[in-house]
Amino acid sequence: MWKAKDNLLLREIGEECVLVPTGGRVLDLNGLVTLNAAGRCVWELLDGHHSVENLADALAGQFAVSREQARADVEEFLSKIEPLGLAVRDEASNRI
Amino acid sequence: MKLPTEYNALVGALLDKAATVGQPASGVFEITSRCNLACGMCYIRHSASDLAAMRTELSAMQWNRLAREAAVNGMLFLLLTGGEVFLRPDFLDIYEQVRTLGLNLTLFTNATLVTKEIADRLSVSPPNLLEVTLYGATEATYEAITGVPGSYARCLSGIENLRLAGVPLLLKTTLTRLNIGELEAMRRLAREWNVPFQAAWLLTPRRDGKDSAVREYRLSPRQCVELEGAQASREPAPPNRTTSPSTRSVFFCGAGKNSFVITASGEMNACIDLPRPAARPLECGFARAWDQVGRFVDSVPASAVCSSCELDPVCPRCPALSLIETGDLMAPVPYLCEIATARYGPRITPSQCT
Ligand code: SF4
Ligand code: SF4
Repeated sequence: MWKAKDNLLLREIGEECVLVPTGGRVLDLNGLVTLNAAGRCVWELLDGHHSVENLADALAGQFAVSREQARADVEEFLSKIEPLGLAVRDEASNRI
Repeated sequence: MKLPTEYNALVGALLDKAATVGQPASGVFEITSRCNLACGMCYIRHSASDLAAMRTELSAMQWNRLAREAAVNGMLFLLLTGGEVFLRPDFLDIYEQVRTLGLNLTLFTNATLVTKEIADRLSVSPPNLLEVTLYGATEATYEAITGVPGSYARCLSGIENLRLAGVPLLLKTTLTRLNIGELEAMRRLAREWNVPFQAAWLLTPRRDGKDSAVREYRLSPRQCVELEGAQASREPAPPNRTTSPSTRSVFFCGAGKNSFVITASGEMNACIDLPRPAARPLECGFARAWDQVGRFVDSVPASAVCSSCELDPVCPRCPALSLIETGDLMAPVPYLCEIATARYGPRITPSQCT
């Protein structure tokens, strides 16, 4: 299960999506993270209750991509945002 | 369209997108017009004890209401500036409230009032960037500009407090005839402190039309253009019409298209240098005030003289600079004519001189 870090808000600018901090020491100096439509779809489900499989299902359901492609895209997305400290593997909810 | 990954280019691309839909994505709140320093070239300055200015300042509650309304209407980037923001004893209360709204926040300060306690409190939830202005690399030069004995030592101590607290810093300077000789020394200080450095030099007169010593302080047009050349390899080019996004408006920036300013007394304007249209968001609501700013910007006609000038593509003039320099939104500005001539070389004469 994956969970987005607290203190981050998804905001829109034109048709783009940007993650902005609402407090704490979240993003580094001059940090600005933009999400495309697929990134947004995954981000909005990072609530600690969705597995990679669930995220891939959602992505495949919303965009015209195969299940395998969606899974690869989800993994790539998570591998990019995890080192930035934007999301964490939520072990607690994993046990439920 | 793929967005750029370099930070400034990305911000520019996002702001362009905001401009196409008229989103007020970028705001400036001038929390106070008062300052504890007394720089002769300042465009806004009121003294720290100016009671009349103090009385017109918005309360912390009013700033927070404006910030919330602006965020609801699409503000994503916010600059909190003065005057000197830390003159307000409630500044950190304003800051901490605004911080929760999900904004990319920048603060401007001269750092002279930043104690260890203030720096530590800021560091709990720091801004994306805190920009400190340094007026010289020696006490003599710094204080010749700020007019306040002891201010250099206080500035250094403020910077040290901010560095130790881990607040993301940028050091910048306003270049004048008095401190141009210390540009390299200031750059060295920034390197020693391991913070990025920027210099600016396009000084404008006082916005309220009062007497300003700016003409005695500012660099010659030739010096300005030499600095642009030297800077070109380090930092982005200054705005001019050949590199900025084209809009139908006579403004070549985002004023009134994606950006706005709210002054210390709560007036919403198109830009820091342009005290128009003085909309009142606290009275009519943010959205209506923003609409007034947009309509004002669209209503400004082109300058007959400048639009037929061959130097126009390389000239930094805009309606705001015309107004602040000459009192007329459309008049050519002799100082900028000279800068444009120096940028382009002596091949063309500005229209106003022909
Ligand atoms: S001074 Fe002119 S170019 Fe600069 S932000 Fe204001 S209106 Fe735009
Ligand atoms: S050079 Fe002078 S006349 Fe020409 S556009 Fe600039 S301000 Fe106007």
